[in-house]
Amino acid sequence: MLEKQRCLSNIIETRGLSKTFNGRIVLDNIDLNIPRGSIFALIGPNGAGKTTLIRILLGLYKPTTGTFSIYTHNNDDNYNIRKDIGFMLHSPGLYPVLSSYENLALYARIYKIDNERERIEHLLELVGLTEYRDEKVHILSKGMRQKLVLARAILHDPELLILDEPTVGLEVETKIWFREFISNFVMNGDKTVLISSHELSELEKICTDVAILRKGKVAGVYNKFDLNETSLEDLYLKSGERD
Amino acid sequence: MAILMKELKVIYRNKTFILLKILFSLLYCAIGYGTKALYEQTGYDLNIAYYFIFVYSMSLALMMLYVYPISKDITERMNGGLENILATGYPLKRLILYKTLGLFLSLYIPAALMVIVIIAWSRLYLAGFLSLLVYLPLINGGIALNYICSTMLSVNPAVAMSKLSFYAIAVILVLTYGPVLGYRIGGYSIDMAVSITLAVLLSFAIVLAAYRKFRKIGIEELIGGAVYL
Ligand SMILES: Nc1ncnc2c1ncn2[C@@H]1O[C@H](COP(=O)(O)OP(=O)(O)OP(=O)(O)O)[C@@H](O)[C@H]1O
Ligand SMILES: [Mg+2]
Repeated sequence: MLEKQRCLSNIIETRGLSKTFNGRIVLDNIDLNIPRGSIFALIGPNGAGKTTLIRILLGLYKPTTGTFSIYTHNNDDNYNIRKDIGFMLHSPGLYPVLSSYENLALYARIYKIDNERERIEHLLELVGLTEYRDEKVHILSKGMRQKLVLARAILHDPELLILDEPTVGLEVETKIWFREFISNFVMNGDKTVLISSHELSELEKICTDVAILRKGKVAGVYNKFDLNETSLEDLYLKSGERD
Repeated sequence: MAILMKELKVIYRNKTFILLKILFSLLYCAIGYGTKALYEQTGYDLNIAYYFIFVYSMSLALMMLYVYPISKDITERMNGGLENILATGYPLKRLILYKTLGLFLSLYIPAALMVIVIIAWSRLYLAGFLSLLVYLPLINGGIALNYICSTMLSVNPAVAMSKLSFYAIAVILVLTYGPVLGYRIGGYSIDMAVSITLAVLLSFAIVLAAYRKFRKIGIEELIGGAVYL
């Protein structure tokens, strides 16, 4: 019963999560609860460990100690949890000589999506790339590529979207587009976004929760009530003063 | 399967490679046919045919590695192609095997064509099919797996690649010109049976080395070791 309750309120829980690389501590005893339906921002200076934490959640790195759980609706023992998670990493992982469609089709097959063609065409339209359906990716602009990566991230209609600096290097209008996309994504309350970014002013407009990482430690966790009172920048700077 | 299709698409979008592959295949077929003349000149010495089936086919497979578009694997790694696929939960070992298969097909086909031409005129069915079905798949699979694992594990895949190419060149020289040089310089001729045994042993060594790399490779070092663009 307790388990069920926990499943409902948080989608991700980490307990004492630590990661060391060759004796250097990169993540130190991370305890985080990521509420279902939230837009959860993960911020912190370069090298704080945000990407490392995301890689652990995606199963790319094994934690040195500690545990984490991801509770999605389909989460029973046999179900492959990765099918409920979409992601955008630092590196886009697109194949420049393949077309937009082919790049998405690769993942559609990996995720074993049934109505591949309809789904891909729908997503290309959603991100405004229908025109570039058969163009090779190397001719796309940075913004278009990022949109294509986003389309790929939601190809399998995931419940949880993990974004690692999705808008770095993009111009204002594309940033706004991404921001609106993320807000719409969680609109119904059953989907969650975990986003790492350095764009505090962008995050401030959409995020409901925030965790600040500094030197591998959680230097503060705030919810929307805190965010209503203090600006994200102030919270960020304040967390640094304690060092 | 999705990975194999992607590999083949990426490989064959490279026009230079297609062209070179066709050229090489034709060249290999010509060599396979030319062997017949050599065979007749040496007074119907079947050793010549065995030599080309087992030793030459191997060095030609190594040669294909040069024209193979290596840059695609380097780009893939630096673009985060591998990391993104692995983040979907796709198993690393399966990813490696499908990538290996893509490379394998590129290496195997031209050498296999040559062997088929030799079988056609020499009627050495047993040796020919042994080569086509066992020896060539093993050696080409070994080279391909070795190459894929090396480029995945290395911080700088281009360096890993040039190292492999260097070994490949050395092996080709030793296997193809070794006997000739030995005869010219030392005056002694190496028995065909010895060269063939050496070639077979060497290919087993390549397969073994590849397997050890394959066993060792893990997601964490693959991602952690990459230098991203
Ligand atoms: N595979 C690895 N091997 C060794 N050290 C690593 C590895 N991955 C990350 N690190 C180290 O861990 C620290 C945290 O890196 P991480 O990429 O998680 O930071 P980040 O918060 O995402 O930074 P940024 O904002 O610059 O993206 C860095 O000091 C980095 O050098
Ligand atoms: Mg990062």
